[in-house]
Formats: sequence, C-alpha cells, structure tokens
Amino acid sequence: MAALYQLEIVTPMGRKFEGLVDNCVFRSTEGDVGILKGHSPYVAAIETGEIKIHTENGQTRYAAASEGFVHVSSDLVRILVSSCEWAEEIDPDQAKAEKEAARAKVAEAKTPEEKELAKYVLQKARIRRRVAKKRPDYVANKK
Amino acid sequence: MAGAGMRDVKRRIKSVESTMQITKAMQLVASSKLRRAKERVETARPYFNTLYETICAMAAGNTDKTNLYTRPREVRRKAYVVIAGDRGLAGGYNVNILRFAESQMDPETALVIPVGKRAVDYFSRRAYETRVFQEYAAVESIDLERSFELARLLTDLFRSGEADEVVLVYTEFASMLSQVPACRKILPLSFTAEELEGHSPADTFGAAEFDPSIGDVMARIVPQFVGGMIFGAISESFASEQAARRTAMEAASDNAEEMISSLSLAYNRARQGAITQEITEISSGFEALR
Repeated sequence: MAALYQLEIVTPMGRKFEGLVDNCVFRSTEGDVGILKGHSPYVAAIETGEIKIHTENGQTRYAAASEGFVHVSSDLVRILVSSCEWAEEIDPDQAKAEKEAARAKVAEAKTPEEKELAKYVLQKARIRRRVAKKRPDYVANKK
Repeated sequence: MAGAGMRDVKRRIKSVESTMQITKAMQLVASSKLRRAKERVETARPYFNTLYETICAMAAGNTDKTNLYTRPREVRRKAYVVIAGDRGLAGGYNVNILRFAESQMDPETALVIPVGKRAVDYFSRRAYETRVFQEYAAVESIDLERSFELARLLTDLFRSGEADEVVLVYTEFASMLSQVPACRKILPLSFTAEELEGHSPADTFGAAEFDPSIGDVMARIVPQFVGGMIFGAISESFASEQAARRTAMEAASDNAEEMISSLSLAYNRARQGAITQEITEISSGFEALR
C-alpha cells in the first residue's frame, strides 16, 4: 500500500470526508488528476465530475461532485466543492430517470441560454448516474 | 369614578393581552425557524471556515502579484456587503449590525450593497452610495444557488473596477444567546496579518503550482469562493436574526405577562373598591331613610 495522507472533502452541506487515503482522483479543468502523498503544493479548479478515493482500509469509494477546487499543501489535501454525493447515497434508478428528464429538457430548450442550462443539468445527471452504477450493492447485483 | 378607572384598566389588559398574543406567536415562529437555521449553520460552517482558511493559505503562499484577483489595489471604492434582517422586532439585531457596519466604513469611499430589507431601507435613506440588487434584497430567499448568483455580480463589480475591495459584514451566530457582528474582507485575495487575525492559515508552504495557470484557476475559484462566503455569512446572519428575535419575543412575552398580572391586581382592587363603595352608599342611604 502506498503512503497515506490526510484528505478532506468539504461542501456547504457539511464535511463529506475526512481521513487518510493513499490516492484520490478528481476531474480538474485540465482532465483527471490523481494525487499521491508528497505531491508538491498545487491548486486547480474542479469540474462537475467524479471523485474517486482509495481509503486507508483498502476501500475504493466514488462520489459525484460539482464545481469547486482542490488545494494540496504539504500535509493536507482539501477538496472544496459546492456539492458531493457518495455513490451509496444515490439511487441508481432515480438517477437514470433524472438523466432521461434532463435529456428531454435539452431537446426542448428553445433559447441558447436555456440550452446551456439544460446541458449543464444533463451533465450533472450523467455523472450521478455513472457514479450510482458504482454502488457496491449495485455492482454485486449485476454479477 | 371607580367605574371609569375599571374600564381603563380593563382596556389596558385587553391591549396587553393582544400584544402578548403577537409576541408569543412570533416567538414560536422564530423558534421553529431558528431550529432549521441552526442546522444550516452547523452544516455550512465547516465549509465557510475551511474555504476561508484555504484561500488565505493560498493567498499567503502566492507570490504572483500580477493577477487581477490577488494583486492588492489602490482602494478608491470599497464595497461592503451588509447583511441584516428582512423584518424588525428582533431585539438589537438590526441596529447592532447596521451600526457596526457604519463604524467600519469611510463614507467617502464606501459602496454599500445591502442584503436584507432592513439594510436596504437603512442605507437608502442615508448619504451612502448604495447598490441594491433587488432580487437579492430579501435575505430569507437566498439559498446556495442564489448565493452563487450574487457572487457573480460581486465578482463583476470587482473585475470591472467599480469596487477595489469587497468586505462582508454579517452577524456571527456564536450561540443561542450571543450574536456578534463581524466583518471579513474577501477580495482581493491578499490579506494583511491584521485581516487574518484569528484565521491564520495552518501552514504556509510556499507558492503553489496553479494548473493550468493562476489566471484560469482564479477566474474559476473566485466566484466559488465569494459564493461560499456569502452563503456562509447569510446562514450565520439568518440564524442570528432568529435567535435574537426569539430572545426578544420571549422577553416581551414575559413582560406582558407580568404587566397583565399587575394590571389584573389593580383591576380587582378597583372592582372591590367600587363594590365596597356601593354597599356603603346603599347602607348609608338606607340609614338616612329610617
């Protein structure tokens, strides 16, 4: 197991994670970025996307996050996003329904602004759906 | 004579009773709103503080003084976002925050952005330059999403040079019984030791690398940061308002009860006096007839 470091994920709805991890991957504006221990000080903006962490007890967890940023300092990595949901917290069927609804909205949108907004909502719904599929119980059922 | 006194006292009891009904009702409403507001503060506070500390740490480590958001500017206009309540009858809540805000400002350079109807009323009647965002005038209606919208407007003000500094003035919800006016500078992202007092970053570790560049990162992070700070400050203020109102209304209800009991005493005394007097009159009249 790789070396551990302290990770915090904080949202306006509370602290979503606080603990030791050996790896975490998130979607920055430049693409997926993974952080290991000993990373140099680093700041990047986070896009709506997936966050994947590998915790100290060997568990891999997935979350659907929206915009925010990450700050890597010498001994602490902080991810601040405006929302973050763990895969376990998302209902896959509901997420699917939401995705379909969002897709319909995009098709219906008339003005460019409406379209923009609808696409944004769809993107969020897509991520939630994708993350929901990674729920441990969902994966187990599939097998 | 005694009858007139009685009627007066009766009328006063009635009026105090109806006042008490109002204060009781407001107390109940404030209590239930407070419960929700307190939850919101408790969930938002880690974000509020962590966000601020992280940005401060980032600012402290940053050596690039050319970026629009991190470069200290000559301050010609200082924008104050003053968060007060929408309604009165909250004890000293509105007065405290508005006075505190005024004590922080230099009328020459201040640009006031009031949030909350009381703040809007107060500053539009005074000789301050104000900018009212009407859609955001009611503090109760501002949720997370709307905080971010307001943040975009503020960031635009800062970017266009209409404001060289942005300061949040809000009420910190210290406890159910104590709410403290506070102010925090949020833009530009360069803080003096004095401004950081009590919020010094845990570690400063030198300049961080910005991916892809400080300009791109800041353009995305700053509206997020401002939005988060507004949301936090509004959560704190709103909980403070409800707590202040509940305390004030509790005190008012207690006072009303006390008043009613002393008035009832006066009323009963007057009634008894009137009866005694009547009996005396009747019996003395009877005496005279004999």
